[in-house]
Amino acid sequence: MYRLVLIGAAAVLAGLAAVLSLARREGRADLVVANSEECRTLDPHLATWTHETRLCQSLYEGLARLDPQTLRPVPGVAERWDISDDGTAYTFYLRTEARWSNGDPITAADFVNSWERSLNPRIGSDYSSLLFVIRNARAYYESIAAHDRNGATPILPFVNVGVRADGPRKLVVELERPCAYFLDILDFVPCWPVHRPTYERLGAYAWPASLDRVVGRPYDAGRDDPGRRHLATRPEHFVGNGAFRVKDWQFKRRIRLAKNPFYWNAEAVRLETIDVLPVADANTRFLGFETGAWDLTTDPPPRVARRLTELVHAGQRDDYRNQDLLATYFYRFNCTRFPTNDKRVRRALSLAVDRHAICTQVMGCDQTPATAFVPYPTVEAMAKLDRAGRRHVYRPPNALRFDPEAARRSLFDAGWTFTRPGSPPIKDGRAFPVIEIMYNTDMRHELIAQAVAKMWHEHLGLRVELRNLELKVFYERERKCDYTVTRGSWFADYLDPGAMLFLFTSDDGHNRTGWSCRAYDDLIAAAEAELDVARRFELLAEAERILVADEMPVMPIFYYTGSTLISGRIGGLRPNVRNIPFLHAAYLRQEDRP
Amino acid sequence: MRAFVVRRLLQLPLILVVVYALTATLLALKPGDILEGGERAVTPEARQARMQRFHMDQHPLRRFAVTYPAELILTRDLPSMEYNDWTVTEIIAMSFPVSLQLGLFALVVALLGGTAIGTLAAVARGSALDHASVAVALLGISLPTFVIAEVVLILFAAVWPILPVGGWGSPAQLILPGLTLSLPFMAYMARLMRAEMIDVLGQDFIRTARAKGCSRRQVILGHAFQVAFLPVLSFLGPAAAGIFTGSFVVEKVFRIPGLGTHFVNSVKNGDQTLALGIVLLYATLLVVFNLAVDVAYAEVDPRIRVTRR
Repeated sequence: MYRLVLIGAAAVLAGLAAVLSLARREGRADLVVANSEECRTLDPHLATWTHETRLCQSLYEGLARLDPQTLRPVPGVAERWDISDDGTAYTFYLRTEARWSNGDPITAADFVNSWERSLNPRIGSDYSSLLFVIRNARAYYESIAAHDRNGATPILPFVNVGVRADGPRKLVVELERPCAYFLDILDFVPCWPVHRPTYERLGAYAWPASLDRVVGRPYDAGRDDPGRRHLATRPEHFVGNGAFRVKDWQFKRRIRLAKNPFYWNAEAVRLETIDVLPVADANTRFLGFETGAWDLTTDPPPRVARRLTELVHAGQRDDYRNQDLLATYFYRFNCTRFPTNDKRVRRALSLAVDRHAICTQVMGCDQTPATAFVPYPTVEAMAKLDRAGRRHVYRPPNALRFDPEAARRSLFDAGWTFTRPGSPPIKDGRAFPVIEIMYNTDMRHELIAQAVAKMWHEHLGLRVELRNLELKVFYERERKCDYTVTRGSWFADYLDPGAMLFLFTSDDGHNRTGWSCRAYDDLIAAAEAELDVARRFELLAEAERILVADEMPVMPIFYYTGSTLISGRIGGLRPNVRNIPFLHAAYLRQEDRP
Repeated sequence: MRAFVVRRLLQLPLILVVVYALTATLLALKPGDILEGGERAVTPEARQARMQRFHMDQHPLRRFAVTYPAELILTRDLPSMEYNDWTVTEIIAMSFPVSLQLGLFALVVALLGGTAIGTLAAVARGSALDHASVAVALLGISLPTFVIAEVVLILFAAVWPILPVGGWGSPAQLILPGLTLSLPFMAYMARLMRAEMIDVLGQDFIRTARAKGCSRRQVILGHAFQVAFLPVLSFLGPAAAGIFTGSFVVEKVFRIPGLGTHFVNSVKNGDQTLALGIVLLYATLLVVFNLAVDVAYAEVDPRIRVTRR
């Protein structure tokens, strides 16, 4: 019997060794990047998560692209453009040498087609709304959705939308109103082009109206079969126009990118291959970097990040960087629910939070305590030039501070009286209700919530409960405004203060506070349409003052930093305020290509 | 015997239907809006498109009982709700072989280690070896896998870098996750083996064998082992099914592209189609491995005969 067990075991081990030894293996890529997750998609219009959109930045290129140093839009597929005096008409002139990764020339019609797809709600892109600035784009989008809902609404023909090709090299875009950041979004999700013949061949270009008709009518393989729609981004079908193409994608193992030989600027791309690995465990991400298994990774475990920060400050390491990001960590207040429906209460809660202590004692990675909603460490990066070439910098209000005495006064103004230290204030004979801080499962959210709860209890005598929820439940409750205080964060999608402030307009889906302020909405709308850069920044700053100084539907806590580890053998990857790794700018310091 | 196997296999579809119904019920009852992605708000139009794409606009009963099975039969696949570029069949087809290979390795290591330690401990009962084996078994069972995984990773990949920091594709990458995965199973098997071996060694037929002049080695390996191995054998069935469907922690720490992370994440992310696919696979494995163990049992133990009921 034991012999049987031994022989069986030996056979299994030998078989395994043989299978694994015979597995296809390729050498190490020039650059190996460890991401925290696998990409859910590489379809440029469906990418949502930052690790996907950042990778897509290397696979697709818009009419303009972002300069790796300044993040400003510079010519991409379009070699130049004209803007009309009223700022509503853009004419792009495409490069003759721009090619898809299969060698096909890129024409203006490719962009018309791609933007039509991007504006098709059936595709379900999260970023379609960024294109609503184009004339009739919103009407087109909504007409399809209404048609699919009721079957009666006619779909607005796409020719009515303000995008048209004037020959193969000229693309004319008409906007609803002037848009200060239109060029900034051209190198982002909704504006990246897709290769229509490939997407059409696989059924991924325009999905059928409703797939739930599979049951109840004859099955139509061409229309209904989802078996090919997802293949458009696979190496065997992939056609992009960025600096790299997808050479190999082994799910959950790695994505190998190879230099796109047809890229118009291929000469400037110095890496031949890049591997992108999904490494979910933060400890493993750090260990892999330390042992040289990969060259670039982000977000080491919090404790390690704090230690690395100390080492960098002491000058003992130079491969780690905390980069200020255009991103804010904040708490939302439910403005429809007692007691946070009173702005004096919200102000009191905000004044009682020592943001500096949270940044240094809880976070410890050079985060900056928030003084407004738009991060001031990034305003220089957001500076804009006016038509006369003058440089304008956005000045967010310096509105938030830690002042427990003022916090108590604000609560007192709201009618709450303090009886004895440590016990909750009282109003009309009723004690201040228990405040619940809601957050999704994450150690950092929990630590911050504990710190805030302690501060509110210590300075205002409030009783605070922490509510840790699973992600899907968390966002469902937040969307339904079923909370008192909830944690939030926002990473701007383009380099503009408006990309942070539009969130809290009354009808925006990100608001989720129940707060509605006509003056704020009007200021944001006026700023959106304002051509004068200086005036626009003034309008935005005025709106931000309402947001963080007067009304406070949100309580900004700190500005994010991006923790990045970059190996010394890689050059050209400069951290930036949007944390985009511009892989096409990377190079090996020593030409010791493995 | 053949009739027994056929009968058990015929029960499989029924078991799968029950498991499917239970899983679908739990998924339908699970709180949270699975179309919520994150901070970025989903527009009502995009939400509508996703609901239609995954038939979320239908009543759950119709969706789970009619639409998904029909779509599965018609298209031989279901789209994953989480991964746009991969289907449920593809994900399982890519991940399961990895879990299977890692699991086989871990199972073999656990079986060899567990039975060896258990036998030695029983034979040298009360000795230092026995106490050491009990201690190791206790540690293996009580130490959480995430602790073991991180410790071995730090020791053998960073402090003493002789093995790679996770990944998949070479025999070297199999060792650390395989050993980590095997440890709790090895510990449990060692305990089972030790207890049973002690029991068996005190029985009459062992005394008879000794009296007839069998060597110590013959008595232990030739006579006692066969009987003492039976509890380990019956543990192998469910252990194999569990081990082959992957381990969330081991896969996460050693970045193994196996099924375990999908099993946990699909439920967490509300990827209902993928969760159903993996649960059905798990149920099938459980039935098949239990059947295999039952058959092996009959082969090994002469007291057990499969009879027609």
